[in-house]
Amino acid sequence: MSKYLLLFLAAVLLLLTGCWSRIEVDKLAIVRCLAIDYLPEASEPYLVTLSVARPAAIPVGDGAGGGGSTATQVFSGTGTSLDLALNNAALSMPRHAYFTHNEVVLIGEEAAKRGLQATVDLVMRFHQLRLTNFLLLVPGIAHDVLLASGRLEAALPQEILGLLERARLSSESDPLEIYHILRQAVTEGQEAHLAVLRLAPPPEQALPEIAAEKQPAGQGAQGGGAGQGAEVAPPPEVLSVNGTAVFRDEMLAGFLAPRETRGYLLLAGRIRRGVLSVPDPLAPGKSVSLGILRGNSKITPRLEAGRLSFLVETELEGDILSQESLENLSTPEMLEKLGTAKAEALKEEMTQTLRRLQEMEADIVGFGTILRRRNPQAFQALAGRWPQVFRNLEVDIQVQAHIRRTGLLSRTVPLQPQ
Amino acid sequence: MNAFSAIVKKLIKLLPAAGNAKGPEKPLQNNRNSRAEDRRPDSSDLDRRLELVRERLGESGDLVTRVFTSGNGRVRLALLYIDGMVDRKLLSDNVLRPIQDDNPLLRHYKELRPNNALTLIEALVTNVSETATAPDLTQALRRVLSGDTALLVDGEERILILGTRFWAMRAVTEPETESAVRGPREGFTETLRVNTSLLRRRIRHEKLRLETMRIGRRTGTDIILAYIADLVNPRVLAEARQRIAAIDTDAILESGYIEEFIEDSPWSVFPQIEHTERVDKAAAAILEGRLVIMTDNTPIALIVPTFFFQFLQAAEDYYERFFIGIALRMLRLFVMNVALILPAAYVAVITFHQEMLPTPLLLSIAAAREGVPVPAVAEALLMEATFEVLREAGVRLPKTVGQAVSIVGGLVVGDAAIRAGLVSPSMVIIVATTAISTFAIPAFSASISLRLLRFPLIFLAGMMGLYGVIIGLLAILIHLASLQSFGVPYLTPLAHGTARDALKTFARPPWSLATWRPKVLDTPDRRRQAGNMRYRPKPPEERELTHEETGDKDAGKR
Repeated sequence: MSKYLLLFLAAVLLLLTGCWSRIEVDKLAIVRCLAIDYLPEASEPYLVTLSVARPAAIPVGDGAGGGGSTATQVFSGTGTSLDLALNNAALSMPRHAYFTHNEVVLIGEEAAKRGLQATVDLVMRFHQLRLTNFLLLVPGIAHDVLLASGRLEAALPQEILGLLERARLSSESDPLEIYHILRQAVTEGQEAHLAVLRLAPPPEQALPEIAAEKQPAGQGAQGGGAGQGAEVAPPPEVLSVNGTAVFRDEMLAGFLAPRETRGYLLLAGRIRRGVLSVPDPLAPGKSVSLGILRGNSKITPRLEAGRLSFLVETELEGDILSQESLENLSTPEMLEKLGTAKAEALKEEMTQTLRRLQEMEADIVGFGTILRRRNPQAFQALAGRWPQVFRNLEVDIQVQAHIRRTGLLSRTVPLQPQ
Repeated sequence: MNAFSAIVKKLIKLLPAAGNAKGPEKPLQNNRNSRAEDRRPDSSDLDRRLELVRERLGESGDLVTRVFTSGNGRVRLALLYIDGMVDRKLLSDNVLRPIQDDNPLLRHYKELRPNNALTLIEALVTNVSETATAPDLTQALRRVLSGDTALLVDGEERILILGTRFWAMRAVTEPETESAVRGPREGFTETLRVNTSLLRRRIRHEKLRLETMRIGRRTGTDIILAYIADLVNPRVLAEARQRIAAIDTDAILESGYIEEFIEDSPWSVFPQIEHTERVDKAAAAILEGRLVIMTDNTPIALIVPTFFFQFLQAAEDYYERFFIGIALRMLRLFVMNVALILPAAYVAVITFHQEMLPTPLLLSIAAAREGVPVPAVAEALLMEATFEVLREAGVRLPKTVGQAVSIVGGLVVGDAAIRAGLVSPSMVIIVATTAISTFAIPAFSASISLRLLRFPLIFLAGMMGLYGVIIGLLAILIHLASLQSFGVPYLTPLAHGTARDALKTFARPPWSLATWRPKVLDTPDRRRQAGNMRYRPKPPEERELTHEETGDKDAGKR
């Protein structure tokens, strides 16, 4: 009899937990993007901004839903510490802040200057945030980025994610997930870097001539009664992902331009796609566009007579994208010549990048790590002053580029009969 | 605490398992060979006997007693039968007329006397094909109540029984609950004799046994154990015989009564005995070494022993190409899991584990749930219950009205509920998918068990999330593993038996490779057929060459 009693009590015990940790989806504030800023003058210097999805804005079926316009809503909070600011931001929402679907963490320039430590600690410690989030740096205030609106995507976080995915194909930025950045940062002989997300006027409006031309045209359309709003909207700023923020000892040390970022990717052997133009070897004054398809780099440390130097051997493959002249460039000799020209141009980019990095004393390529792996004793001797060693490091860059294809044309079609 | 444990004790006493063990032994004997009835008054005098019959059967309108005299006027006889259950034309043409015939040249006209009447009539006079002799009135009456005719002779102790059963019966039709695209269209009917003939026609083997038993004190229902003597496992056969013989109840109106009396664990929600309406399915079971229990007055036959995974198999698996058989079995396994788990898993994930969903999916679910007034658990239970109501309403209604129910219930109510924001569209999708999945399980009895278990699982999911679902599933699995059907573990052949048999859970083998019967059934003769006998083309030297091979260019022109 007591057996049944025990069984019964054991079964009841299961129910005593109630519905612990149960929360309905419609009570969740699904945070999709998190921005961290530091405002040096403010009394509560940390500013955390959350971009939260608004499910009510997503149309469901043909009847209900579709109310409201914006797919995301921004909430922010300030505090004397990062966590307090985050708490205040979360508490300003009418729903339960839910971070497991957060995909992007933005860090403002000022905050980055104070170091990544606090941000990384928060991301690693908080169970809802994941190390697969992208960590990006925003020049200026990160909060402002979240106020922008998506151009193709209804929700801004979706737009950012799309940009990040595309950015990998241009080789002009190197967006990384937090665990990659962590790995770089904790590795001896290597520094971390972040991709840069910036808010800027669209390229066409950046040119003064076009901007001047557009202004009256816009007003003309308005006067014509096209049904537009009464005010002239300020030129919309667009998001772009390009360039790299370089860190030294977890502090922001400087920036690499988009081209320099490509140089870095070439050095590190992680180049993806890219385009460059070189002068036409047969027709002076005209140029040929070449594409980079894939590439690989091999970095070898050399220690000769106590003098440390590195050899970077880069091998690239690519194709011809377009040419301006009518010359036949598809002969083996010409292709080789083009290859050499391409190698020269890219070598220049790599050298330039290296010089900038050496100025910043930030070894984000990881020369130190390679030395440590190849020759631990040699690295150990230099470990304490690696940044200075890196500054004066001699690096021999050898680039080999092959042009494999010429597109659908072997030689161009002259439009004017000769 | 004392009061509480007293209440628990009381509750436990109410539990049938505990109560049954100490229940009084049943004093009632099976009435088949009951001696008490043998000693009931009987008489060889015709009038006294008819009086006794009237005493025992009462004044029933359908009881016919026809007293007549033989053609030579020496013997008084009486026919006793139940109107509507006998072939009256057969009776009048082949019994009444020859006995009453007063042609003096006939041998029986000359010889018929009360003392030899019975044997002479049986041997010479009637042309009824089936006759028997009953020693007393009790036994004769039992035959009469089954549709036979008793011929009483004045002054004769024994009674001649004439097989004249004939009644209106339903024709052999396509089984409605188990239709198949390919395969025989014949299903069992309510008449046991017709059913046995359907079986015999499929298995023309001398070892096919159709063992008859009679149970039901008041209904006296015929039960037939069908098996092949050298295939069935003797232990299972003995067990089945014993369990059926132990049934002592008033009435057996359907095989479901027997199923509940003989199954191993009547307190389980899972059916432990498969039933079928299909003759081919019953025949296949018999040929596999199983036992088929047929019951009079119902087209549903029982198959023992049963494994759980049999409920996921259909006769058609073996008729279509085996690739299809494989695909369908996999599909049904999947569908079974969907039917059982899907709503619970959905509730668990959207109320506890939102991080497990891809972001776009979570957002659309969140958008769908926006403004739904009830929590997801309640929503799921409500929708599932509504669906069960709709299904139940549809089953009992005539077909013409049924359509209206499905339109009003499914379309109007469903659509309106979503538009009114009472339920979320995603929940409707989940419930509808689950509903369709339950219908994809071939056996209704198994699918209704799963359907029942869905509710506690949803409840657990709403309370404890996936943790609760896993607890529920483990409980179900432990229970399944503890079940047996006639001494064979219920989860055979997956949890017990050979790998070859286990594989059949997922795939039905091509016939050319199905050489052995299931090992777990432990049949005396395990081999089903010759070894691998797939067709193979003859080697070239043994076969007539085609014109291409002989190089005969004119072959086509001749």
